[in-house]
Amino acid sequence: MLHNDLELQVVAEDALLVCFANAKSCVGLPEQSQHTTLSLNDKNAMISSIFNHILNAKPTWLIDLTPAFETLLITYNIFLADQWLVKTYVRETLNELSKIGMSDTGRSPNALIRRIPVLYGGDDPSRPHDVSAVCDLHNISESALVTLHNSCSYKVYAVGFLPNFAYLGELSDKLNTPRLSSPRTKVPAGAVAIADKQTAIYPQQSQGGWHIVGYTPLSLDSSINKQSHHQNLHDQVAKITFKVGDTVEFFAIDDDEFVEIQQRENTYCAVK
Amino acid sequence: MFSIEQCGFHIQLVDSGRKFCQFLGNTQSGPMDWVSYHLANAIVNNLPEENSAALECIGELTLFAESTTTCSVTGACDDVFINDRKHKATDLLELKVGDRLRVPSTSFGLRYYVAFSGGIDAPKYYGSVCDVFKEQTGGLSGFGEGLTVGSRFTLLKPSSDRRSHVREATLNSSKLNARKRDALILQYLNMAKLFSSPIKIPLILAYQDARFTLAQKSLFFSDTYQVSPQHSRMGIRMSGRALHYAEKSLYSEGISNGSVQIAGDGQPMILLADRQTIGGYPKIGSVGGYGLARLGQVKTGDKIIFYPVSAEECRQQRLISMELLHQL
Repeated sequence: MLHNDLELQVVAEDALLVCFANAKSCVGLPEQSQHTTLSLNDKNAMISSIFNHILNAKPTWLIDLTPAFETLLITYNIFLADQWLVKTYVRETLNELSKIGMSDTGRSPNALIRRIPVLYGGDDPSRPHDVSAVCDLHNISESALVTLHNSCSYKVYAVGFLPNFAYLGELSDKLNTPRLSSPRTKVPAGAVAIADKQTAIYPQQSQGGWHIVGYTPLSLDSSINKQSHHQNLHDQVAKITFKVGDTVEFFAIDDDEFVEIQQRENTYCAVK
Repeated sequence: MFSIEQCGFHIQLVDSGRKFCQFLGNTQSGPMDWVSYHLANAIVNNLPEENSAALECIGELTLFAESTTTCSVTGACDDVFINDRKHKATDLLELKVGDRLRVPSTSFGLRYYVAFSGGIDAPKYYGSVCDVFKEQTGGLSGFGEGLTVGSRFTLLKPSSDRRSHVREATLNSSKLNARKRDALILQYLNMAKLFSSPIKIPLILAYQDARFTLAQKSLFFSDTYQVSPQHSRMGIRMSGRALHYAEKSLYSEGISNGSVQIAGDGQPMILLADRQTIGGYPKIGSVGGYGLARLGQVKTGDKIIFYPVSAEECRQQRLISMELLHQL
């Protein structure tokens, strides 16, 4: 990895964005080295490795970290640090990491494979979707959309936006879809949606600008359980908690299966 | 113990926000108007590093005191009443057992803050007591639903009698001290211009600003944008001239406080305290410094104008403000 590939951008009064979008790998001697653009998988692995390192070190000025596909947002306490200090810190961290060898495998050892049932399309007005808009845009049939979406497995590149919202990639080029021109104010929980070459599941109702292709009956809301002193009251934990590096696969189900799984999910939550 | 007897539109707990939770997808939160939040705490002698919990309110409030304390009200409020006796906002207010504090609604601004000596006692979630409605986390109950009529809370004991001489001096204020204190507060508020019109918002060009042509950027800075009815602690949707930019797919990335994203319809949306952690619409930059506090006080229909600044200028505004509060 070359250091001049690294972009450190001051994006706010209290935040620095570390960006590997243009990172290249370097093969051979410095004078005659050949540079090839890194794959998204490699860049994401590098982001994970810097993220883990800084999180472990927890410098006093650090407020938060937000790793994503090829970027890491560092939020800092402006009374304890300024942009120059944080930039220096990131460069030094990278030096250290390249000495001990940055992990370049995209998969962490305890990564899991998650299989997610999806009802594509459907007529229930409480579950709005954009299947026909997406099909029209790419000039494909509805069944082609389903096959394109669930015939490959995806990697969790980032978790964020909402608790347990996993950014999955990469979608087939044939499904590369821009965001809605204006975000929906209410996307129901369980919506499976696509944007650019990413796909994701909305774990809870939210606003959102992605095109919805279907719904999963699984309950993925991890934000309800949290506080220890309330666990008796509200002991509902999502069965699936996504982690960066996990693999996700989708499979199609019909209306009856949707209802069946949904009922099972509700029983599970009630018993738990 | 204190209880809410009357509640206008919304009351919730805030402190300066959460830490180490955005990589889990949990929002940062924090006060919408940091200028008023920090002032309220400074008046009751809570130190900034104590990160004391205060009330963030929209609409009128009546609070019943079952204990004695000192409190302060700052932000969008004018006169406040203790048992129908009128006091100035930003005064150091003494509440005794049986007293009622009433804050009427005002015609200017949106939010006001009520801070108490020692701060409100509440469970912490990622290091913060903030109610986060959209996540159903935080606050007194842990479910982020805010406070309503009948909500009761207690206070933490002030950690020490530091600056007690200041408190004494203020309480038994000799005219000179009171005048000096008022002058400091006025200076502090004057710099922030929380209720000024036209509303000028400083913006740091960053993120994908290179996707916008110079002409588009200069239109963005010369035009007026109106606050749409869709504004909350998550963000503010604006309406005005649509901005065009080079369409290019973007991998979703971390969103800093104050980020201004431009959706496909070209309208800016400013992402604030309870924003999502990650997003993929192109961003032209982020609002900083006093701009963030000013945005905590805007209402539907307000018109704003953005102007370019550097990140360091915004940081300086914050440093200078806190320096002033230390002198209080």
